[in-house]
Amino acid sequence: MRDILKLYWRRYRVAILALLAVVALNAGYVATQQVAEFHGAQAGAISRKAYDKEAAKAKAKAKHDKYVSYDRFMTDTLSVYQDELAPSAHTPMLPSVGDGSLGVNVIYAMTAFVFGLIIAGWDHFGRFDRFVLGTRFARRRVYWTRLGLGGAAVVASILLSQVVLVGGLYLGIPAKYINVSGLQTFGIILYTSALALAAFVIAFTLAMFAGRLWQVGLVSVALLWTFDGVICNYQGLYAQVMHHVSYNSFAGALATPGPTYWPTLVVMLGLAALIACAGAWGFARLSLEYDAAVLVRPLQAVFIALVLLYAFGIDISWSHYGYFEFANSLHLSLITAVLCLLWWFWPRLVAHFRRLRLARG
Amino acid sequence: MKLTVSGLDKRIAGRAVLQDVALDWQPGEIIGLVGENGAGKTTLMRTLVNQYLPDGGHVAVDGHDLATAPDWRVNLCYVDPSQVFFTGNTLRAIVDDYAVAYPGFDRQRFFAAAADYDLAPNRRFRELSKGYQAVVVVLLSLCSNAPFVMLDEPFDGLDLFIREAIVSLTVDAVADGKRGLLIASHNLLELDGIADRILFLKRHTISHDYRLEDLREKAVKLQLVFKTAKLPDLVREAGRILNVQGRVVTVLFKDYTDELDAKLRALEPVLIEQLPLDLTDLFRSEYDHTEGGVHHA
Repeated sequence: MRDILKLYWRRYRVAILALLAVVALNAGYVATQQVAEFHGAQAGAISRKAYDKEAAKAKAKAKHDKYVSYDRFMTDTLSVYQDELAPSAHTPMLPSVGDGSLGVNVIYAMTAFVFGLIIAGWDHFGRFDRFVLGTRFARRRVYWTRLGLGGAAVVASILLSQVVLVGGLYLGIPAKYINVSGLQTFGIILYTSALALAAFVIAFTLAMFAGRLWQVGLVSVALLWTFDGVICNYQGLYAQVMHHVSYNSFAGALATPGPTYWPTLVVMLGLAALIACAGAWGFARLSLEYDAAVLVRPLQAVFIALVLLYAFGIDISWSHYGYFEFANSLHLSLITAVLCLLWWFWPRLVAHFRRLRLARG
Repeated sequence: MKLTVSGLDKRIAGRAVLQDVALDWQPGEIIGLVGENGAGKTTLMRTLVNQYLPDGGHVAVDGHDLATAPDWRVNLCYVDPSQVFFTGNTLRAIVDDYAVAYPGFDRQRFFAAAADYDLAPNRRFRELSKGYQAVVVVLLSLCSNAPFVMLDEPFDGLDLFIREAIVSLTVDAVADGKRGLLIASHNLLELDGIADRILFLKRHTISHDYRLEDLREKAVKLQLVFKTAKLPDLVREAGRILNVQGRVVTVLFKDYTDELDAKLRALEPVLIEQLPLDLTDLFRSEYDHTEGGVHHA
């Protein structure tokens, strides 16, 4: 195990350092922006004297008009993490901010996705897999070591992003204006890590089993294009079934899951675990003569099930009032099911037509 | 130590490429693997090292099945020259990777041998000429210190000096009896000079396993001329006709006994002359679908 780790650390270290650098730079940029915004807002804020004057004027005009103290006003106005979301999109695990760069930043999940594509694609298309399969290392150990190393790097990148972001904010802004609790910071790390891990495992498996680079590119673009919407649709469906909240009132999203925080987190981790286990099973049965074809033959059933679920998620239809419409949600699933059946039977169809052609002469 | 292959089957795209392949191999032997293009030589090597999963059969080292005891695969090294991962790497980085995969890898020997060809550790593999790339592949295989090393077409398209260099490396490698080589090659002359055994891969399986020393003792290549144009049946039955030019016939007798010699001389040939036998003759006798270049109905 140690030798496998050594081998892959030698290989991945530049990619891992690049991942950490990208994430740290992004978090540093966000923190710098927030600090600059804070100081700009502080410089342009109303003075205590002017505020008191306005408050006195308002009080004289309408006795019921209540002004908070100047200090409270300044804290509310300048807080970095402000309450911006509707109650239905709120969870104690996350700060109530709509700004993704401060809360759950989907960029980090996308970075993890690209990282997964790069390392697994480099091994597969760069023929390093071929070399490793021929060595003394057991396939399962190889698979779990490299996935573990990549996964650890992804989680480390999320931790680093929060350390840089929150650290930067505390360095540049007085603590009383930051307004984020330890639980919320933990919640961000936990949720973003689950999201990034799922993205990483999906990308890793895709790049490892796809036969051609263009297949990786095509599926990656499709995933990045639709993933947010799919998760959002499933979250809305969950909120409707479990909490009887219509999609219009739910107002959640991938980065702001509200009451679906824990279910989304569990599903992400479950998805990552399922795909990782399927990948391990497939890697142990990988035979490299199928170099020019999709290498997922043994995994076809799992792959098709996930694709069908995903297609359904893309096409979930909501009524004007935000209620789930089953019949209207089936179009893409049905088309996908037909395509999957065609794919499933493709080798037999090809063989059948070849036999027919040969029989004709 | 002994590597045993038994009942090895491999199908690719529904077509049998290897069928019931069996082989015993011990360190100290150089085995030539010979077959027509597409016979399955590379497939056999890739299957032996687990890049291709076999559809049946076993590969074992000292009785340990490599499918269930992959640790034992450290005794087997195959650098697939057409599928290397290290084209952009420096020689030093390549060696570092191989040293992790093969704990017995001899770095000193690699760099000392590489220096003989002016191959500095910081040279990138892709910057090297085809010949030197072949040398690096052979050096990596040999310096892995695996007892069983497979080389796929190591002489293919190389000039005389590089071919000689590779021959010299391979012969040195087995001199101490601790290492065996399986060399797939179309270069029969080169193989003829170094191989102890020749495996013929034909119709998806090892059709013949010749020990060259034994064969040279038993087999004879004769040039014969008979009084009539019609060849005696004995020649057809006991030998394999390699060439026919007019009435001059070149025939390979794989098992040339005194009895056969007497029978042949009893036919009173006009000319009977022994010619030097080489691997090309064996290859031709194994694979030529004609009779001495002449098609028969």
